[in-house]
Formats: sequence, structure tokens, C-alpha cells
Amino acid sequence: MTLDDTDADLIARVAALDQLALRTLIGRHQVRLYRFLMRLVRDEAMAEELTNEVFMEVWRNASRYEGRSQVGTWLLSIGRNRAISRLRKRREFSWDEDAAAEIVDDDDDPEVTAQKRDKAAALRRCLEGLSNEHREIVDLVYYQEKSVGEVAEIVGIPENTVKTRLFYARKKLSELMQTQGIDRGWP
Amino acid sequence: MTGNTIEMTQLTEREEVEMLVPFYVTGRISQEDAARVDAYLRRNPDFAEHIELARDERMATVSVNEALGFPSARATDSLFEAIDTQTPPLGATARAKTRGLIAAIREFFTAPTPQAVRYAGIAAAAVVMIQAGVITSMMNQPQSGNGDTGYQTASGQQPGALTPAALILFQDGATLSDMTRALNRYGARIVEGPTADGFYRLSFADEGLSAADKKTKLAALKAEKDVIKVVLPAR
Repeated sequence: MTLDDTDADLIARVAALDQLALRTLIGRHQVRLYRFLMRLVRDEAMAEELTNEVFMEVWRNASRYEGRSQVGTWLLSIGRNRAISRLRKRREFSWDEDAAAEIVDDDDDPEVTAQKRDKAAALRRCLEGLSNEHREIVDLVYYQEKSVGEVAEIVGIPENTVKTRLFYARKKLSELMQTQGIDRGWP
Repeated sequence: MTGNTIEMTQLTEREEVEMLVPFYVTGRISQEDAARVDAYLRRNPDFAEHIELARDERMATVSVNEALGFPSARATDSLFEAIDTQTPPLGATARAKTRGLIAAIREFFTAPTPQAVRYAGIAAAAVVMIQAGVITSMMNQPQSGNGDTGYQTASGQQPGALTPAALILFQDGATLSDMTRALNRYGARIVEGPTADGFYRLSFADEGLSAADKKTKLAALKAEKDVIKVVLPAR
């Protein structure tokens, strides 16, 4: 096994029960998958458990990988389905949730007031204020670095919807920044 | 326009290009779309500000995600432990080995000399014998520890130490923890599987259970419908 082995090579080896290949795959994808799941379920223990379940599913079903998408995309897709299924069982799942109101307005706190002057910190705070649906799409594009087609596959929506959803997420971000006293000059 | 959907035909050129910008800044964009952004930027130099906005968004998103840290060492250890102890898919191993042999047979038939045809018959018989040998050796092989090919019980005990009591099929959405909890509740453990059909053989830790007790426990397992799809008596 070499560093040049592609993810698809590794999956083929995993299908032949090569543990080293699975461990290499885990090394490559575990952190990003965990963070994606953390953003969805907002619970460290559950995110860890789901991450492990995804890799165990790969261990059991690697032969089902058809190579139609990148392995990373496949893993995120499995993880997302499992996370939503788990949240639905707990009846905690709602894409419509709009957490904008949860952005804490601590004007009396000098430290926070100073932070608010920091545009980057405000942007990070506002990202946390996006709805689940918007936050997910922003994460997939900016952090997971997925293309339009890959996001469409992971989320299960048409490519045009990916573009428009992200467009609205960014507009919402500007609105939230306005509430923090920062005009981004767009839209 | 409703909710998050928008008629693409209603968009101005600028809005259409704005929709491409996040993908432009990550580089996950087609050459055609990237060229479209570049062309628009050449005609509208002020658009560079919008690209900067997207770069800021990207940096903030990366920062928020990186602040989430890493899975704990305990979780990673538990994953590796599960991989080590998880019974290798018996069906997959046998299938993989059989595929190679079938390919060899196919080669004989694609070059149909009389000698090759005769050897093909011998090879076909050998497939049956070798496959049986592979499965038997997996059933009886002591735990190798490296998990590459050898059959291992979930408990680490030698196969055969427990008598299979039932065949079970887990629900598709069942999690490892759900499975473990359900099995532990009735003192059951996986001793073999999955088969090509996804079934596992399970035994009860208490070998001295009466037939009536086993029947009761199997009925209780069958009632765990969120986790277990099918329970069949082992033959």
C-alpha cells in the first residue's frame, strides 16, 4: 500500500477484507466526516458513534461501492442518512429550525462588544445562527469542498437547488451580520 | 420564487454568477463556469469585492469546523477494536476466492482446446472442494489476530465454543450500539456471520439454558423489531 493509493483502490482492498486499507481510509476521512456529523447532530458522543458506524458499514459493505461518486462523498452521504434517521427517532429533527434568534446579543459585555467589531468573529457567530438546512450546504461547499454535483448527491436535491439554497444561505448570512451591526455590502 | 427555490430564468446575469462564486473560491467548479466568472469579473472589476466576501465566508466556515476538534481517542480505539473483533463477512471472503477460481475456469473455456476442456472439468470439481475447504477452515481456524482472512468470533473465543441457537437478520438502519444492547439484554452473542444473505448466527452465553428458556429469549429478541428484522431457529 502506498500514499498514492486512491480512495477507490482502498475500497477495493477493504472489500477483500484488508484491515490496513480500512485504517488508511479512516485516517483520510474520519475527521471531516466527524465534523460534518457534529454540525448535523450537535452532540459529540452521537457524532463519534455515527462516524464509527459509517466506517463499520464500509467494512461490511465495501463491495457495494460502485465508484459512481468519490469515496468521501459516499461516506458523507451514508453519515447524513444515518444522522437524520437517528435524529428522527429522537424527534429532534427539523430542517426548518431557524437559529438566528439564538445569536446572543451581549452588548453589556465589553469583551463581546469588542469581538463584534471583529468581522471574522461576527461571521463565525452568524454561521452558527443559520438554519440546519443552510448551515449544511455552506459546510459542504466551503469546508468539505464539494462540487455542485457532489452536494446534490449527498443532500439528495437537484443541482439548481444546491445553487439557490446556497445563494439564500449567503443572503441570510448578510441579514444576520446586519443584526450584528455589520453591513457586508451584499446583496 | 418560493422558499429556497427560484426560477433560474428570473435571475440577472450578476445573480447567476454570484451563485457560482462559492464554488469558484474553492476551485470545485467546471472550467466552463470558472471561465464565466472570470469573464464577468473582467467586465465588472467591482465584482472582486463579492469574491472577497465569499473567501471570508469560506475562511469563517473552515474556522468554525476546525474548532469542532477531533473524535476522541476512546472513540477511535473503539472503532479499531470493533474492526478487529467484527466477524469478517464470510460470504464476501468466499465470494472473493470463488471469483478468482471462476475467472480461471472462464479462461479455460475461452480457449477451448480439448485439453483445456478436460482441465476445466477438473477445475470445476476443485472449486466445490476448495470452497468447502475455505468455509470449513474459516469455521475452525484459531483467531489469527490480524483479521486479514481468518474467521474470528466477536467474543474472541474459538468457534464452536458456543452452540448456535438462532439465525438473525438485523434491521437495515440498526446501529452497532442498538445491536449490542439488544443482544446483551438477552445474554446473546454473535458467533458467526454475516452470511451472503446478511444473517448472523447467535448463541446464548449461558449454555445451560433449557429449551423453554431459549425459546422465550428468542421470542423476546424477535420482539425487538426496531433492531432485529428476522429470527430463525438454527439448524
